[in-house]
Amino acid sequence: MCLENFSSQVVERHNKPEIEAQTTKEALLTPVQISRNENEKVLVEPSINSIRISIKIKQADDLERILCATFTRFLMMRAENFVVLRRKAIKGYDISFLITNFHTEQMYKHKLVDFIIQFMEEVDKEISEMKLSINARARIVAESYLQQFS
Amino acid sequence: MEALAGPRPADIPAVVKQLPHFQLDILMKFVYRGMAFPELYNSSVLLTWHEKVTEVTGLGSIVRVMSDRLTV
Repeated sequence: MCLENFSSQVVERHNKPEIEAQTTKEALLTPVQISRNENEKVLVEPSINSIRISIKIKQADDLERILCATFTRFLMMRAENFVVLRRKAIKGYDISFLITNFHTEQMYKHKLVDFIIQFMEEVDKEISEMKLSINARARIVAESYLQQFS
Repeated sequence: MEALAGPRPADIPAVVKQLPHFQLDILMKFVYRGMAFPELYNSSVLLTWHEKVTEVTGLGSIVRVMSDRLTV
């Protein structure tokens, strides 16, 4: 994660994350995709002053898809509190992080990496927890409702 | 790319050991290119290759994949 400051070459006195602006092709490195299978992949797009990491979370069925979409939307709406979270995920992925050289200057790089790993682990845990609680609640509601017909 | 799926998982370390370093970099480029299309190539085999190559070359080869202008 070697990011250095890089002022925009297109507009004077501007300093944009090159991976988002994509104005100068020399500042961009080759994007790298790591996939375990078709449903789980991570796209890492590096550039001279920023990195964009997009993750596709494994979703096995419709319920998990809805849960995942709602949960990630909840997180992304509060992206300001997470600092490195991107407000919109890249097309084809569920969640995206944007790390700029300013972040690496203020925070430890290995801690940023640890944060992302821990974040994703917690998201996975929360989604499976929510799925279990939904199923349990649905079962209780259905039972008590159908009781009156038995 | 079919050549990468050829050797059995036990033979991969032997293949990796006898390749010179610049060829290991090119091998990593192929591994990452293959992972970009998970529906066409078997990702678990590619992950095994990736692990074995990183054991030999370390993180440098991954950085070289990203920064090299010549892509596969």
